Amino acid sequence: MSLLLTVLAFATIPASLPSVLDMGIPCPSTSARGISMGESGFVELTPTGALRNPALSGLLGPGLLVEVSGGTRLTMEKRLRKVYDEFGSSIGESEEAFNRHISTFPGGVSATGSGAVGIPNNVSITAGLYRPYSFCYDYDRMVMDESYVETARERLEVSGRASELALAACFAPSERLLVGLGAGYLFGNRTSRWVVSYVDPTADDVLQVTDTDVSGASARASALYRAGRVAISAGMDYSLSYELTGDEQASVSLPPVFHAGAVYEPGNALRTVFTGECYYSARSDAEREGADMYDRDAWGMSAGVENDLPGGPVGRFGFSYRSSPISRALDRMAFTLGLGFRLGDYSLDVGGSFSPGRWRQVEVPDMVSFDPGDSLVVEESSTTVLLSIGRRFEL
Amino acid sequence: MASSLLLALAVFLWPADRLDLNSASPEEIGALEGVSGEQADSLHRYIYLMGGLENIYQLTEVEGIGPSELEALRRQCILVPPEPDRLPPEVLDVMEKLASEDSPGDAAVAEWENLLVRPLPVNEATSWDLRSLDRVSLVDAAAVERRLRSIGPVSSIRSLRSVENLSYYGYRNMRDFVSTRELDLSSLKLFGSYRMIVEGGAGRDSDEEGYDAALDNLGSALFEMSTGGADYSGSPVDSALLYEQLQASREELLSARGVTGFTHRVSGGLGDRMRGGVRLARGRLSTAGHDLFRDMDMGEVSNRFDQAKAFVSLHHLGPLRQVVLGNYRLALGQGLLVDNSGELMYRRLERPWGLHPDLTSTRQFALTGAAVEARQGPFLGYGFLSSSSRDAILSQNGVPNVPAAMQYRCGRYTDALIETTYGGYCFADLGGILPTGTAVGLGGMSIAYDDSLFPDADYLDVPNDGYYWDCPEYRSLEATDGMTLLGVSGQTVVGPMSLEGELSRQDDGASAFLIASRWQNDYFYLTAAARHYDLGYSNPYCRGFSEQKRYDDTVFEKPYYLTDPLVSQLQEWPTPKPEEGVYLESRFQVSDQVVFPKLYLDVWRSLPYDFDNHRFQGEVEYRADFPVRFRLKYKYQSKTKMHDVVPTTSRTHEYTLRSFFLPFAHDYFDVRLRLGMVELTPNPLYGDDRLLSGGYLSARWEHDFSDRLSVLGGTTLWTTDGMSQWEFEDTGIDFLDGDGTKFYLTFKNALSDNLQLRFRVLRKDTFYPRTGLYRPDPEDQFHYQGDPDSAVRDFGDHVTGYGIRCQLDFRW
Repeated sequence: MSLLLTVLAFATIPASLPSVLDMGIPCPSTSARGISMGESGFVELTPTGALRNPALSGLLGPGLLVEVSGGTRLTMEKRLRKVYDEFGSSIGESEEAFNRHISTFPGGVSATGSGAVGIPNNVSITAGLYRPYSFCYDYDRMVMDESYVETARERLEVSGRASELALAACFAPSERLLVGLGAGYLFGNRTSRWVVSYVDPTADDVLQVTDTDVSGASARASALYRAGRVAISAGMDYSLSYELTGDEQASVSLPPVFHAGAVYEPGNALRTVFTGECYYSARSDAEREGADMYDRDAWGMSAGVENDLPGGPVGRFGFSYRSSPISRALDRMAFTLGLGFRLGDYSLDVGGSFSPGRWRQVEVPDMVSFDPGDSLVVEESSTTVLLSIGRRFEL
Repeated sequence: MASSLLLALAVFLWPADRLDLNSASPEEIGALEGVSGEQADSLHRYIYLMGGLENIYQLTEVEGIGPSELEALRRQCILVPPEPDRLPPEVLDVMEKLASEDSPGDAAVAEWENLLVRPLPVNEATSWDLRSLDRVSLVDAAAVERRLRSIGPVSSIRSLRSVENLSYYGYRNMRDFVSTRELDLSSLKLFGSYRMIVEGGAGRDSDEEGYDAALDNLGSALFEMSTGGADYSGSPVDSALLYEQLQASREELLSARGVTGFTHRVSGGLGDRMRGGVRLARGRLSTAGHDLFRDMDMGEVSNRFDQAKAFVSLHHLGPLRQVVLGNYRLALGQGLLVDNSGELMYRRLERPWGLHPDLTSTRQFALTGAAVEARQGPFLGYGFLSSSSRDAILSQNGVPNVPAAMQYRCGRYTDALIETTYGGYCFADLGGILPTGTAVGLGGMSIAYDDSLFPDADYLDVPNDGYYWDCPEYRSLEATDGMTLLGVSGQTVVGPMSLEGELSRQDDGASAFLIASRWQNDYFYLTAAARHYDLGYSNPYCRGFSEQKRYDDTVFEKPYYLTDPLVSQLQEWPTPKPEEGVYLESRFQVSDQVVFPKLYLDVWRSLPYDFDNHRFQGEVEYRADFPVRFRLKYKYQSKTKMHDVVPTTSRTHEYTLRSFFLPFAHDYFDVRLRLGMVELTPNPLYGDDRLLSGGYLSARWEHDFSDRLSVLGGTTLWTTDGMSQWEFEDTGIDFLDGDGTKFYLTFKNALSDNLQLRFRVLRKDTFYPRTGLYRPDPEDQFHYQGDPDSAVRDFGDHVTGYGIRCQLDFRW
């Protein structure tokens, strides 16, 4: 769902706007532990992870576990243009524009409990509010003539976020098998503001503001099987509805997303935990108002490791690869790191991911370049840091 | 053994009704006196995560377990130690070292990794088996064989240390790959491994730059042709057709943009009898589908992979030591007749000798078919047959011009030929009547192509460009539909000295020879090698000792002189340059504090132009105290190469100071400083002396959190003024140009003895100032892409590249 919103955001940018790729940033993880384990979302061993994989809550232990997360994202973007000599050989790339944007965001709040009064020990309930993706992008460029005199200033600001209120339940019919069901209600808002201010007072400035509300509902089902030291899980995410209202009106049909993952605890002095997951979605079947959106099928994988460092905190690192439904040029890898601290019943985790990318505007279909015939290169990097605080209550 | 004794002791000393905590369930622990249900759950969880306890006092780390609980547990419980790991940490360390500085190469690493897991049974090994191990000389191998023949089997590897003429260096390099285990031919124990590698990058890293350069070169050639800058009059090349062909190649390469590289490799076996394996891979930034299961329509599979290899091998079938069906590697003699690795290792005498299954990344030289190794008495024989597709550069008339090993492949040159190769090599071990290690060998090989090769420079050379296209290495190639080669080899070992050599001759009379000799003891070795490669010796499977590759310092390094810039990839052809020379190498340990790790002198003549070259490198290491070492290296090289009709000589001086520290028990620190200068001698075309320089400072720190987890970080700062640098990272060579900084981080985590994870991330920033760009003539101006009328002013090209590599190994 989050990947689709990225597409929708691109498609609704008015013509003549600069091409934008950072709208509708998907957030695979909304807790520090998850993000540091390769941006895991399906086998993220936190209450938020249990919202996405209902069967996972059976691994989180008895009692009530509450977690709150928040974070910050730094996005840097360079736009480059190749320079050629008279023989047509490239001598390098000249920087056209540079943008840096820092945003803070709430990751979410969630709680999972089992063994409470009235709830059998083999049942877990999870509830929470989390942010599956955000709209957050700033772009600023000075337009100059051949004599390098400023003629205009162009700015694009996109803001907003989508949140999901979710509920999940897990039932363990046996020691080895857990099954779960969940549902979520999505709501949010996206605002984009594009301004072109000309130095020449006789030229009309341009201002375009678009305000769009998003809403939708989804259902989830998953199962988890424990085989010795390995827990294997599989599940499906199905979008029941997705609507755009406001300055844009559209109804979107999305294919389901299939997930699979595993948690492996080999048993060693470092109390290592290894997680791996993958997903697949036949995004080529996605439709907007009954019309094909010409997306690619999307898939992704991630892996993460957690170790109890001798005498110190928990150390985590991971890796992820996600293909983009829009263009292969937007496929991304990410490198993640994190630390965790245990203070009695409290846990404090900090984690981060770093994802670089490089693509050409002409490689992304339906993207409008801001100069005709241009083929700027965009180099971008996204650094996300999340902080999570959790507490376990005995019930 | 130790755990079995402990178990026996535990059973003897403790009553049978005591509970083994390491295998108890939460209910069993909860039933103990003095332990509550909640404490039992915590205890069980802790023991589960730790994989078992080795002593009871570890339980004090569990929350809620105090002295009284501990005392109660001591009275009621025992601890049966967990099973020791099958793969000791030292083995994992060696695996890491194989990927480090002075790496032996992809093919060797693959074979030695197998030996680390299933070591060679030393009591049944011969010098043929032992000499294929990393840095084990013929003298070392023969010494061990002599000991086994004269005295009999050894009961421990440690006892090899006292073998006469086996150097400490050789023993140290051998001990991790051999064991006293016996071959078990009746066992059907299944073992195997799965490796997954994902390799990608972002920004402008070196892979991306090479790929962009290939695209730019094609774009530049197209630009020249479209603006009338290229004159093809009088040339057999049809410029209009060439334009279409270059456009098509460019489109095909563009389809590979953004492709992430990945590899899946599965291998396994049954006991010591049978092995098998499959490799499916896609190279980073590679086009897909070519040569994958030739003539088979693989549909989607062809679009996902660009390489497929597989093998099945059977072992110890009477006189047949090994039969391999599928892909195999073969390296015999001195590598002059046959060595089908895909890389040429400069100044290397060692190679993974013999016949091995092949799941390496080698493509152009992969042998596919069947090969057999047989031993009977004093005779060792190899036979092989292969039929594989090969890439080749085609002339515009569709005739194959010359074979090439191409990184950026387009359909036009891909799978242009079918090569059928067969041959054999037979060795007679004369160790029964002459000193152990003495042998002679005779071999032959036939290479046949399904289409004739016609080297023709007129199709490769851009005509009328004012450049005289002279390349004796290429022009000496003759039209052929294959070749037949003969090889003769010999070796002997007398005490601490060995002498070995090989002579190979092509059917057209061209020949090559290599003779090497070595004298060694625990503190010193001296190696001398003499080689000669005729200009016409063009055996594609020759990987003999040499200083340069065949097309180094030739026109193929300049894409703008070629009708098709992709032909410049011929410079990577991994066969020795026609040269002759003498090479001396030594290592000398003066004392415990002072050692000369490596000294070498190479004096060689490049035969195409009869240029004399010299290269000297010396290293001295001083160990002030155990955790501190200093190493100083000096390199001098004088090399002449032909440059636009007039030769150019360069003299290079390079100094490297390196220090190693072990500041704490679990830390390793390494700092390196290099300074280099190149002096170009006066040249009528290029004026007075030119001085180029460059240098870098690098630091590396590795911390072992435990024997299962280590983190390595490295950083480098460099500056160059015309002289690019190279340095060893933890996994290979990196080239440094311009001015810049680099940072990398590597995590090595052995999750269990079955699962290892290695993860690496790198960021490299390089800055190239582009100044003096103003041109008054509009026809001569620099311009922006897509806007030929725009003038460009000075700018700084800031190149940022990222590399990410993830490797997962699973063994069972």
